Amino acid sequence: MKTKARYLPVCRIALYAALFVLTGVIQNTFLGGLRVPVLPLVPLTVAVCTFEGEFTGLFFGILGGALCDIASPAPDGIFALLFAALGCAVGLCMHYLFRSTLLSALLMTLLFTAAAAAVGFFFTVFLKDPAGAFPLFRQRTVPGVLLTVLLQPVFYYPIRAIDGKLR
Amino acid sequence: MRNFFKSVKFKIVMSVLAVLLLGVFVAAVSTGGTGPLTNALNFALTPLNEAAAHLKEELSGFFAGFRSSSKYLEEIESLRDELNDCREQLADYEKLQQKLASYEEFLEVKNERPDYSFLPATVIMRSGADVFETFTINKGTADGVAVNMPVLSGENLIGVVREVSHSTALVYTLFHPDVSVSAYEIRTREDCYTKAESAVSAEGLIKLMGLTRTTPVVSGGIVCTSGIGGIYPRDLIIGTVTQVVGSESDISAYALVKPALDYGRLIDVFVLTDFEEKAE
Repeated sequence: MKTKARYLPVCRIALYAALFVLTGVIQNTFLGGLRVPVLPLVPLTVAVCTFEGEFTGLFFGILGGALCDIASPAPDGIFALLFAALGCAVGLCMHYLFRSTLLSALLMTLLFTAAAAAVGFFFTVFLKDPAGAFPLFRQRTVPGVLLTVLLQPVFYYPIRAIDGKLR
Repeated sequence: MRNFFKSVKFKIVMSVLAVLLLGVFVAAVSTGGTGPLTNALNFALTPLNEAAAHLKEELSGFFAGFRSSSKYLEEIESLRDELNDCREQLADYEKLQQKLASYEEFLEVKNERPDYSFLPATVIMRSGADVFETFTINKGTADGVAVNMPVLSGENLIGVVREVSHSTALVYTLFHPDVSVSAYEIRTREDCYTKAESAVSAEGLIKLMGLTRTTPVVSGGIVCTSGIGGIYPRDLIIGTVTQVVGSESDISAYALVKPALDYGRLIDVFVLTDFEEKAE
């Protein structure tokens, strides 16, 4: 019984890592060709940080960000850095300020996605062509942020179930 | 929360963030533009991404059968428009004859280029956070791909390699503001260059700059690379002129060019690794 309990966190972390890789592949292949940028790695990172806290959130943030970096034309490592900082911040907020509910997760996802999309937009569009950037932000990035936020329940409930079963 | 900021955990968090920041700087100054973390992930995930890209290709054919009646109505409407366009084109037969002759001339030129060295590649990733249709191919430094190599599909120029890792390469398409190609219009031989702007790129078009106000370039003209600069060889197709517009600020004019291919649907491309007039 003790041995089984010892392996539970390892199984949980491994399962989260596999989920991250799977989501990353889906984001960079199936969703990459969409007209609006949808980033399912963001709600997944927020969901994991909600239940795992700031420290584990930091490392899963790095993984999620690095998966975004491999297909992004933004400076290499920028999403890993951003996701790590935001993952840690989400973990802290969920631990000290909010309750771990879907509503809190949705709010965090909105802030997280807005920050990630704004940084991505700044490096990939605004720095290259500031004059025509704003209409593009309104037409593509904003709908992309909203679509990403709507994906949160898809990740929140499975992560909560995994956390409940394997903790 | 105050306890967290005084704890060892906080110091670890700050150290990790500092290392990541350092990684960003290292990647920015490295020649390939990719850091060690991205390189390692790219190497590990390339087979998985290739498999997913293949699956996506298979599924796109499968789901094409499930369409609503409104989709069919839209398609009928677009086919009617297309038919009208074809009628207009038939009426202007002489113009089409000229265009055909120029195409044939162009093809002859293409057949005379045995100096091209190609490397076939597959599109395996597209960035969800990018609006310029940037994509990643499954060939990297291990296959001989380097920064600034042109990427083609048939005789059409798609873009240029901008970042390379061991097993993958990031390709900027002609829609990216960082990509500018010296070009000419094949009927008039007027020299010009492409310039992508985000607002125009969002419409699936590229700006063709450097035309004179009295330019003889008209809608329907084919634009090709001129080879100036040594990055792109001469005579690769860029696209077709859709509109010529006079500049509001000076005496020049610009044209809007529509690429012949939909970059969002590309699967197989070629990296042009070597050609005769390539700059060293």
